[in-house]
Amino acid sequence: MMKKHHFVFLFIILIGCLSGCGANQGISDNAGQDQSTQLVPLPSDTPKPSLTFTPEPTFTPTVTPIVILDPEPIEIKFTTEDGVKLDGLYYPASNNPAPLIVLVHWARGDMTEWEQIALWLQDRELLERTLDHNRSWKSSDWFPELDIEGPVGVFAFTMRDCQGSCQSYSPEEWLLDIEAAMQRAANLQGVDKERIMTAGASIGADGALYGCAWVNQAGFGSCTGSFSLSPASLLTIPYEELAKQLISAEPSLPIYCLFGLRDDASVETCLDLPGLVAVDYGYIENHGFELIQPGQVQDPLLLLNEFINLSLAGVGE
Amino acid sequence: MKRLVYAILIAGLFLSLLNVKPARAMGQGDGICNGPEEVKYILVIGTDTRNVGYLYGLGDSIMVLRVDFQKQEVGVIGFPRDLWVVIPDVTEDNGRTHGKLNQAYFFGTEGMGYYSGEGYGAGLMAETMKYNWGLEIDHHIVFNMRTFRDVVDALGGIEVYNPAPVYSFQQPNQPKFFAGGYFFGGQEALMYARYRDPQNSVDRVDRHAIVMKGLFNQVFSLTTIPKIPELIGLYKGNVLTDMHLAELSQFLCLAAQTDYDDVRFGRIPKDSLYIPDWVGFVWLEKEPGSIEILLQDFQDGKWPE
Repeated sequence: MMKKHHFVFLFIILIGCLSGCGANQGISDNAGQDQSTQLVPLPSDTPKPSLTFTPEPTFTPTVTPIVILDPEPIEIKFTTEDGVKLDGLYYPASNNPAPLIVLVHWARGDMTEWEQIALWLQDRELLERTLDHNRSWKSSDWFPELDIEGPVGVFAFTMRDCQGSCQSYSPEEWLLDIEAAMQRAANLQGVDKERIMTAGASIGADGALYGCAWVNQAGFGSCTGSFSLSPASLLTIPYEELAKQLISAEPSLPIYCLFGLRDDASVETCLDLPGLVAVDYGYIENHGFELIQPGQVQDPLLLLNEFINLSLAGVGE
Repeated sequence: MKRLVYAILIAGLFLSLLNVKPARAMGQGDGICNGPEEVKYILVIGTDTRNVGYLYGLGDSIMVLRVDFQKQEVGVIGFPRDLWVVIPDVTEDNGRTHGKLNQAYFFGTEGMGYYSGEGYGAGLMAETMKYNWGLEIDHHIVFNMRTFRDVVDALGGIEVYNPAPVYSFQQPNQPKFFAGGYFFGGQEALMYARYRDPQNSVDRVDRHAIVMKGLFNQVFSLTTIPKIPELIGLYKGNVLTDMHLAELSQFLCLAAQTDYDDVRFGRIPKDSLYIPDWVGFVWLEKEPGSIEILLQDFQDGKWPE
């Protein structure tokens, strides 16, 4: 007897739940139709329950509700495949879902090397035009006006043992870090995982290209191009092979490579690679971030801007 | 009902398998640091040219690295430059069939042009090693004295420990190094490594190994690690090598993971050689074929003390 009571009670709850779920489903997926007529009719003098939703007739539904995140960078913690915990900073775009650019640092610094450039790319009025006499890439007073078609989110992170600067030479482990970062980046709130780009300096340039190729191979999103400052196959993977793989994709992905002509390894890496946008800065030793200087014929930040537009347009060189 | 639960579990397992990531290192070897499966032999030659370039020169410092990316092992064997060997493929050009090992490099240089294969001097020296001892070289790295000095200076100097006095009363102009620790700049490191005792070029091989250890320790010191990419960029063009940049970084990666004390050094034992009564100093095997046996052991992972 008790069992029968229980059964009836559970049945009522189940029916209630199903009808409730159906109502909610109607609100989110079929907004624009008056679903209330399909529910239990209410007497005209009864106040409508607060859960009942009458959509605006002009409301256009989207796949997911849009929540515009505040512009302030968000600390992101993530863990690599081998269990190392890493820190990242997410600079949300002013609208979403938005494309994302993942920034990878060099061995002489960590994610903070990208800070000013990240704020510049995020373009949400957080960039204060300041002068840094020691580091031109952190001296945002000379940064050009950004001209990107649509908002872009930014994600930077620090590879293992690299707080301040890298304390070990660990290319194999850094590849794991990059993989984890790319996976985390693709799942950040408000990110369009089908429009991810990468950029990096020195070891980060090699890492950024690897990350881009890896996203496309792993298939949890799409990388649409990579921007390199002084790559040199420093992470045990031939840069040229990855670049060729991306350039020959359909559609071809834009790969930019900036280097100084006295940086022999970068010259060997970038020069004469068909389909790659190679930009040399003359006979200078400058490497990685040191290429980001004001007053150059080809402003590296404008090239980054150009790369992003090209990348988002889905047009390779 | 049970079947349904099992079906759901199996489906879940299958879906989770679909999420397994692809092979991480795309298109690379299975060894540590994405290195190749097979053992690699790298011929390292320091030439005696003081100026820029590699048009001419003798192979002054001669070592072969045995690099095993599977077992994470690095071994080095040093060769005395005055070892008397057959130098193949040069008879047509200069009529010689034999010479010192360091001349094998010289005859193959671009300036001399006696060698038609790839790699100029390093190529001919590799060919010579194969011909005489069956040691097959995979890659070479050649640096001149200027590059060596510049690299040591760029590293901020190297620390070495000299185990025994190095000086000659017969040659007062030669520098003197007493036993003990030294901090060398590029020029001093060069003088120490190149110190010549005509009667004993075999011990010179030991000094090369001592300097190599100092270089190794300095490259992987905390202050240098962040500069490694720039240093590669600056000096890659100043050495002759057939190694791709990715191969260099694989090797650097392996070296960084290897405790230097685990790197095994060996050389051709002095007591297996003798100086014949000829004009000019050369070294010959006491028992012909002994070096070949020793190098076979080296290839098998056994190191001569």
